[in-house]
Amino acid sequence: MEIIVRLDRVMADRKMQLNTLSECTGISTVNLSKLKTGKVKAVRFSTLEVICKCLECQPGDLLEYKD
Amino acid sequence: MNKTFDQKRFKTMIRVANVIALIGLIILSIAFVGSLVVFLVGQFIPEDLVTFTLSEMNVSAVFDMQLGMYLSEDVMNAEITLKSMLISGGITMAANVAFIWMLFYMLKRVFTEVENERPFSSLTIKSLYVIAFIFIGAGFILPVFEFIFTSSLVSQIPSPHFDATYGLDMGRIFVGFLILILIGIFQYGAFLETEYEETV
Repeated sequence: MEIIVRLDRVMADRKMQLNTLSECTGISTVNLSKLKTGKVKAVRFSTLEVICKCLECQPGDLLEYKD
Repeated sequence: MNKTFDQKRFKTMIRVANVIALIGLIILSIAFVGSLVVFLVGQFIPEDLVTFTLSEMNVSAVFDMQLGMYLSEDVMNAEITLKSMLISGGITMAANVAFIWMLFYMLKRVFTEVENERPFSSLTIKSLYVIAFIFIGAGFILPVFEFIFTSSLVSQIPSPHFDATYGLDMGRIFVGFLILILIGIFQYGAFLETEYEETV
């Protein structure tokens, strides 16, 4: 059971680079990279909010639950 | 961090504490060397140079506040030599200074970590552990030195009213255990810091 972050997939769909997303969200590339590779324990609602705003997606598009 | 927390003021406070700890370390190092000098002087000074009686010192009668009486003739005429007192006093002083020196050194390490914005680092927790064990150890060991020093003094006074006893320094041991409890709080802080760092 785990939550998988699908940020890379959504970014690929939108053809958006990590630097561009970093500029848009104000989140450092280091933190976005950690999020992309699933090396984080928790994500703040505020972080999800800005990412969803920049990528024009829903939180459900970014997170996936795998049994 | 919490917005009500005055970070600037806290940083200044820690910086000042760090400087005080550094000055303390320098002064204590000098005091340590001084106490070793006292010890060496005690080792090599001829005994007859530092031997005297109370009556020789133009003291006609010494009133003992604790016993509420004048010291007897035996005590007044007893030969007191400072040699053994210099040796044991030097060692006792060196041990006490070394205890405070180690305390200041560990505190300085903690302050440096806090100054570098790592208040809950593993080094801080290790340093606090060392401080706690220094206190507990000092509670057992320092009274031994104090006992030796008092014994060297008392053994020269032929009076049944004076005696040297060994007793643990419960105050220091208590402080040591108190710091051990506080370390638990720091460990919880370290856990929270890790959680904070792993959240984006």
